[in-house]
Amino acid sequence: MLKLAKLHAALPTHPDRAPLGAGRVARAAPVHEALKGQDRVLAHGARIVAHVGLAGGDIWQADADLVPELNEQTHPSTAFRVVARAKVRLTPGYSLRFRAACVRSGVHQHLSGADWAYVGTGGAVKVSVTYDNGVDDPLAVSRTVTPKASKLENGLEPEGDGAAWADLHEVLGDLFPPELFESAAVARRWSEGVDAAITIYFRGGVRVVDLCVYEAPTRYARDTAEDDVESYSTHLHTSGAADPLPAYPSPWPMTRRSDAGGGDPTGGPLAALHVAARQGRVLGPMLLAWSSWLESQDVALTEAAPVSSTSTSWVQLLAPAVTSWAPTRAGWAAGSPGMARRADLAGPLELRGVAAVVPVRVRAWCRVTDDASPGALRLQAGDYSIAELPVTSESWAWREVLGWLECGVNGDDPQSWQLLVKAGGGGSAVEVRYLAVDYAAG
Amino acid sequence: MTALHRNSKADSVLLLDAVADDLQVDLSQRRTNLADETTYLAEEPSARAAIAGDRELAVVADIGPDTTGTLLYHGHASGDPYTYRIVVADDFGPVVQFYEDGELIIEVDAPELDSEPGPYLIHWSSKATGAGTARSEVMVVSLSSGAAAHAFDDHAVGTPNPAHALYVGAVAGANGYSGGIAAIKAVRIGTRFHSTVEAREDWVAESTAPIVASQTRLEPVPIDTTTGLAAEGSLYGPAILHASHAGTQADKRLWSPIVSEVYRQTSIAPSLGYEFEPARHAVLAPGSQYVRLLLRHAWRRPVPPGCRRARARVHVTMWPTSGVDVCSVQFQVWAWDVLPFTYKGLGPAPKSSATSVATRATSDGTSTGAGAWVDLGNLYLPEHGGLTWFALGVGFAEGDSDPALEETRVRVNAVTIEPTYPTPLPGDFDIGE
Repeated sequence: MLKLAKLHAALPTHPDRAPLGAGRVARAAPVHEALKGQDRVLAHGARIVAHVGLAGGDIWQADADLVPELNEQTHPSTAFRVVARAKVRLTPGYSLRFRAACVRSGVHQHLSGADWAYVGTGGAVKVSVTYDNGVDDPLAVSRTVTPKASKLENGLEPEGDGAAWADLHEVLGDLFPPELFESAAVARRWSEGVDAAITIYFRGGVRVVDLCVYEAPTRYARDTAEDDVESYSTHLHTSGAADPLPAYPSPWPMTRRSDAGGGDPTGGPLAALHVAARQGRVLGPMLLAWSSWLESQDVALTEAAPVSSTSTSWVQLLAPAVTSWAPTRAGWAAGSPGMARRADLAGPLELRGVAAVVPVRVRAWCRVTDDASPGALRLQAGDYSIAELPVTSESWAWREVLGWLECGVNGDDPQSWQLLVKAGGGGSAVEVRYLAVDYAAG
Repeated sequence: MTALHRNSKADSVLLLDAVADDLQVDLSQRRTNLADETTYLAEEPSARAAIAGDRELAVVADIGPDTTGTLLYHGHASGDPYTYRIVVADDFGPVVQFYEDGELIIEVDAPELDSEPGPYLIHWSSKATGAGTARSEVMVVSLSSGAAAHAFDDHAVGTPNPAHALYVGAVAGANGYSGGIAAIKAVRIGTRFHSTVEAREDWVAESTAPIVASQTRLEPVPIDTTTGLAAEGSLYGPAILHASHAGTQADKRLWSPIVSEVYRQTSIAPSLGYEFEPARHAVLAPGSQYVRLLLRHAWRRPVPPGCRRARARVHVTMWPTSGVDVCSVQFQVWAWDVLPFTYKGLGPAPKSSATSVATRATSDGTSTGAGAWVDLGNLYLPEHGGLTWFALGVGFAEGDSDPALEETRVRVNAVTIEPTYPTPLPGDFDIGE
């Protein structure tokens, strides 16, 4: 039987566990509440998987202080340029959407013959996603949205202290594959083990303050006859119509309910234990996303200019004068990932409650300029906690590696992750455009 | 009652510690000692040490400039075949070599080698990554200086043979460790992947527990469903009780950093002065006389369902363009459900929240100076449709005059806003509303 859950951003419930304790009369109602609570865990996320924007910059490519000239490219073109990429293993049952905060777009230009022509103000944002479950043909979804354009001469920004803030507006779009909503059978195929490759483009004179692509819960389905109960990331304590059950389906929770007879395993203790174990293995945070895009980069670029290093000793990629990890140095946030601590890596016996570790999948869109001299990247959480990614090819591509990095125990515990780079010598450079680090499920 | 050794873990199949007892005494829960062969230790055969895939091997031993020989070995007594072997070899100085299934997979120089033999932790942990493959992490730490060397490899795993033997300090008497068995201080073999952080906590130095004001989560040890807990005829209670507890501990596993930005920290990276150029991008924070919110540090982000509190930190570098002094600089993060600067009076009025204003007045000398983290504390998260606006505000000299005001530059190197729980009560410490 196909069982579907329509996921909504849900608040978790923590049912009273006392009626399940020793010496209590076994009743169906507390079991029902416990399984309903287990079904509310999966939809409790909004992971940000990619973002790009001003990123500390004080200037746009559509420069408000620069009067456009004819026959010369001074402003962005009307062709799409890649400003960010990311790749992530999606949370089961999730798809993606995006939202961008923008101020009004400035001037863009168009190449007409050999000359650059001024074609007014405006621009667009496009986000493309390829969903891949490793079995079916990938599903591609793309959305293009158009922020408002400047009404001022030469696409200027409004003048005056803080005037740009009154100009802020949002554009947004869903990136859900329509196939997901065709049937529970299709949703089932795209519920587990889906990788999403994301590309973000800007066109023309868009002025994006911040754009983020994030996960939204959609649909999760399993086939109780086909899918091993160990593959359930949520209990599916639901009816065949995807509705929560109003009550436990039998009056006496006294005997095992399992798929031993080929039936529905949901609602029983085996499924409850499997789901509990799987949620610990599969559910975890998006740890960091980064793009080398700067609005100050040359308007002729068709993709973000990489950050590169030829240092043959370890240096920080974004602070090349720094040669090691240090807690006092700038780094990405690594406190809250401790909410996803696993028993086998960070249990009370393993780390004694004084430290925390999460499994990570480090991905970098990177290359070396000479593959005879390979380099490496290190995402480092301390002197003793490193994930190292070899960079051996001259072609741009996602490269990834598995690691286990120290983190805080929660968002109050300050921890930072820093990226170091080492080139192989001979003038070969390691170049990095994008990073995407997520929880390594499994 | 037998006191457990602090480094005896649930997965440990062998734990030797010459400080706690004679080296051959097994301090793991197995409590099965190795045979003392005078110059080496042995267990022939050793089914418990026949492990591939998920596995931890840890050795503490003295290494000096002339050290060579076998530290740990599981395989045939003749020296071939074998599942794993750790040796110190002479390659223009001692190098620690790690072999799996007869293949050298990793070698690491002992860091900061002294002229006299000194203690080193040699930690090799591997995690199964597929059928017959594993990823290994190796860390060699000087326990004298704390210096560490790391290496990594993805490799095929061997087929461990339970009929093979385990040797410490030699291979059935051959290729003995040059420092003698007395130079080997501790050995642990386990059936689980151990992170290098766990190795540090066990063998180098135990950390101090962090002091946190908000809730934490930790996965309970998963219950193997083949246990009697869920067997035919058993009551539901214990299994459902565990699953319910696990669900509570899993409810925030997807909570991720809301803002986590690191910027270039070079001399040409954008910085900020008291004039806040371009002025059109900087607006006074509501009710403030001097904190200006920066468009370059503004975000529109989703917040996890149920998350109403976050902790904000910034990392900044401050320097004078001339002279040696900087004025004080203030930092504050704001959050809104609806942006007040664009609110047209339709719908509920915007709700806002802000951290405390934190001040830093330390010069880092130059634009590439070290800088420092500034902890801004917590803020409440007003949300609309699951999203919140955020902005970083900066002020110079609290809006007053200062001799160093015009020379002071500040560059924001990183901003982090991370979710915490639970939602605070009104009036709680540094949370504004």
